[in-house]
Amino acid sequence: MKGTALLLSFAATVSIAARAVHGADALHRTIVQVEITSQMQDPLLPWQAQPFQQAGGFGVAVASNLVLTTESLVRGCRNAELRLPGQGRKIEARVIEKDAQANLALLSIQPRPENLLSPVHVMKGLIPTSSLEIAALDRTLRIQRSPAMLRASAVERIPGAPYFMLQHAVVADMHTEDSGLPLLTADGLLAGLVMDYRRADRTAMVAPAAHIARFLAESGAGGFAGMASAGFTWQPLLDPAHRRSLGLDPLGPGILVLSTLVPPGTEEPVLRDDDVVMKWDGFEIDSTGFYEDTDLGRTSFAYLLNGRTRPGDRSKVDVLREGSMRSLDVPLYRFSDTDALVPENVEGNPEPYIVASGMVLRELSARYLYAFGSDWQTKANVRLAHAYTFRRMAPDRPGDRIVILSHVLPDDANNGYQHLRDEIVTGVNGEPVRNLNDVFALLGPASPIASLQLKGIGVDVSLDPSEAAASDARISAKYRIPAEMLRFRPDVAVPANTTAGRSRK
Amino acid sequence: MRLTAVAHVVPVAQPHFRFLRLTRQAAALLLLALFIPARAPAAAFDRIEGAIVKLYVVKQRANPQMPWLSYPPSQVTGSGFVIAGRKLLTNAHVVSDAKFIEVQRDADPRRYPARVEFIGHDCDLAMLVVDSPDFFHDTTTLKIASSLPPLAAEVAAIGFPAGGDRLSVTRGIVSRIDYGGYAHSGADQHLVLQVDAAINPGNSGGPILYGGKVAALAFQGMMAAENIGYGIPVPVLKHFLADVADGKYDGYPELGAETVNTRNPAIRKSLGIPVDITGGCVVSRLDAFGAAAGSLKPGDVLLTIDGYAIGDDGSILIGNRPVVFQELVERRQWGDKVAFSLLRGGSRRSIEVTLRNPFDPFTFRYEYDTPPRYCVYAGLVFAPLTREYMRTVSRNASRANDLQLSYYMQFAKEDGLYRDRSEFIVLIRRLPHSMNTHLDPFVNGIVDNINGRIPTGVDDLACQLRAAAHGFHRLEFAGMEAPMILDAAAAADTDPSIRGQYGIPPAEMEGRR
Repeated sequence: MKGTALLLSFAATVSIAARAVHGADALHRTIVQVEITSQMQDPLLPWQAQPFQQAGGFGVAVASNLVLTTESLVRGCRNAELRLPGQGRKIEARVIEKDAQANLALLSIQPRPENLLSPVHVMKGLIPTSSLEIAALDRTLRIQRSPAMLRASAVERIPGAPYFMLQHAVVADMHTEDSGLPLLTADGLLAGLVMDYRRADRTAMVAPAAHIARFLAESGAGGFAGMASAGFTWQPLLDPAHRRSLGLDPLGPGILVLSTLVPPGTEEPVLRDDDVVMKWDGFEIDSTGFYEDTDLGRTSFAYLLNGRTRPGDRSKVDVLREGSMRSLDVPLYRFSDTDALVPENVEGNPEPYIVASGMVLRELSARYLYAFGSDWQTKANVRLAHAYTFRRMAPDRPGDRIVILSHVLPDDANNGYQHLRDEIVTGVNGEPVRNLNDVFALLGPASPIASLQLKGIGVDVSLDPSEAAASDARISAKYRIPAEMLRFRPDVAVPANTTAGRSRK
Repeated sequence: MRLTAVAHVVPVAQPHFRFLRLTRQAAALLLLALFIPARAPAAAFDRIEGAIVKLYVVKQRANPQMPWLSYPPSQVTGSGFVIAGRKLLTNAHVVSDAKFIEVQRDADPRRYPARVEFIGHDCDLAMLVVDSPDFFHDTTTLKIASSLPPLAAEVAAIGFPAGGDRLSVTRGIVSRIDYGGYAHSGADQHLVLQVDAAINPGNSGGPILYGGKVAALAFQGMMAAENIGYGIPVPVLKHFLADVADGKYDGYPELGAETVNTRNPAIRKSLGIPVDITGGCVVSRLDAFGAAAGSLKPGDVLLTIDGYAIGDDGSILIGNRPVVFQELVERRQWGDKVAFSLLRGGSRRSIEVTLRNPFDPFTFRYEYDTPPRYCVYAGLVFAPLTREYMRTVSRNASRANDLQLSYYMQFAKEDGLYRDRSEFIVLIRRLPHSMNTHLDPFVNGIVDNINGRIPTGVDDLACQLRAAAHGFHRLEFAGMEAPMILDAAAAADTDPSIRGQYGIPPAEMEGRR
């Protein structure tokens, strides 16, 4: 009786905001509920996993065995299950493609079920012109359709990730804040996928159909190529004094290039520090970094890169360099997070580490800093927080990372060093190291750590190499680290095609 | 010794609550009515009571964010006591930034003006003088004990803490003798005497007595803990008194040698320490402002100091008590020497270090009694990075520059950030004007150079900004990839009107080094 009352109450609530559809619905084999059990590497004790977490969201069928959802939902996925409207049974699925830059993921159902899913077709074009609705499932797995109104389309930061892409801001009344819901046109085409919903202003941030179409096409043809980057940082050029000092009209166009990275397969960046970008692919870039897009109107210039081009393309860029106008041919490529000096690792990929004689060595990442809590800026080591905040995207050379001694697992072998924590490692066994790959290369079975060189400490941290094996065995037993887990080196710790290094001024 | 961190330690001077407080006379009457003593106090206590004073201090500090402005004057009360030579001792934090000081004995309703003769902010001690001879009528003096009291010794803290207006006595025992942070400077640590006698706001500067003599001077307590009060013990008091004997206060000398232990056999082997030597600690970093710079070297293994054997953890035994070897440096004055025997490159050597402590802007002590230095130009307010300013700055992600200030303050020396600089110059504020309206991203940025030249200080930056009449100034900031560009002529033109707009005093009033 109590359960019935709750259901009635819920139905009464949602009917205000959304039109409940009874009986068969065209979407009843298209929209699915997604349940993800995720587990990620513990950033502080990297040989073990964090407690698993469960998250729910939605997805939409895009093929008879494929469901599209958001990458943020499937992050760290260990188990994925789907439920269809009106059905209690759970269907096992697995993640076959995901991309944090696009915040999209594909789930596959294996084996291919007969007539289980009815795929939706993706709308062509960028801006939906018909009336819109967002479809969702309520707690009883009934389909709810909420009228939606496109309020704006702009380049915004993806929820939960440091990447920017074009998103639709859509106003709708929804009963859920979960991601993965489809934005549909009046004729049932997929106009976007909800990445985030803010109940406070009833606004859903939606990945546009154009991105989805590209993601699906490239996923089926070898893998999503990602978003294009020209490998530079920039800032608006508004200050009249600064503009005049560069010989520019105080009210004219142009943004300032701050720093550049060397693109793949090249020796020098095409763009240079202090260039003023005036035009990109024929579009004049105003002093705030916006341009007049033929479809979107005034839009961030970032859309010219990650919306209108893809990695491998080239852009024609007009710059003011040292007082003269130049036309440049700029190669575009995918900037990988792993090219950064301090990777974000928003996807929670396992990070490399070494436990040797109780010394825990790893590379600095944003995930590591975030492990200190929401106030990591005050809790984490200020030197490391500073490196992330000011030098994250500025490796001096391709492949540079910040190697740290995160902490010491006390043992006889490391007596005297057990207070060390979050120290920057500049060398191992007297050899300079730029990343943990260098350390792996230095340390073979016959070459344990004999000394560490730490930034700011003028004396080597010396260890007895002859004691290393015995110490590792003790540490493995005492701290419950399986012997084979004392070192972890992902297949590609620093990508083989790492290219992005900072150009030096 | 310089402090690496101070947590939850607060000085215990008492803010003066003018409107809540009973008048002294009224309180005295109340006490008389309620607590007529059963018997007269012992003569010994009369002698002690006659030496204790209450201090009434009016202070005023500058606003670190708008350094041309002062905070309203505030009144605090503290305690002090008379020592031989008609001098008074109290805490530096009671009388720092004082504009007006009065002292009063419990038995005398009159207040007497006093003035600071010597003040040591690094050890939180001050010596006062009272010019009126009347004050010393019936005044007694306290003697400083010759040595530290033992652990568990019964002590009494005497002073004028919160909770009443008359003299207060609380009793307890010596709980611990240790090194600890001195909150007043925020950057120093010396010996401290921990007692469980109640020490409350207002006790600051009062004596902690053992056997009728001053064993320590109450100065700070620990928040979020019970019955933990701290006193400045005899060795620190004596160091201060010896220091000022020549008519000026020099402060504690600083060795400036960071060391690491050699407990691990591997480090001992790598340093070539012979097996017959069991102790020794190794120099890991030398402070360019310390006394040891130029004498000791990183990698030196310090074996003895003034004949005391240094253990592998850097401790020495004095009177069968292990203390850090820097304790011996603490006991010395400027110009004294300490002798080390050490191993350098496997060879034994003897090295003497002459102790000193030159001005070190990168220690970031709280600063008192000096007008703030700053420069306002074209609505941009530049000032040296100080601990006082950092107290007003939050450290969070949305304000990366604030995080950078914390980093520069904490790692100035360790990461060599101070090299080629005499101070870190911060753009602490922008006074909004069309001239500078796009320059907010630079606020709390650290000036790296102006027109390619590192300014020697705020004064120098001011000179360079004001010198040019045309062209552009290019200011680069640490960690920022875009420079700040100032149109020199426009800045010069607008500076007077911005000053007028915001009521900024003339440039001549800006503090100078």
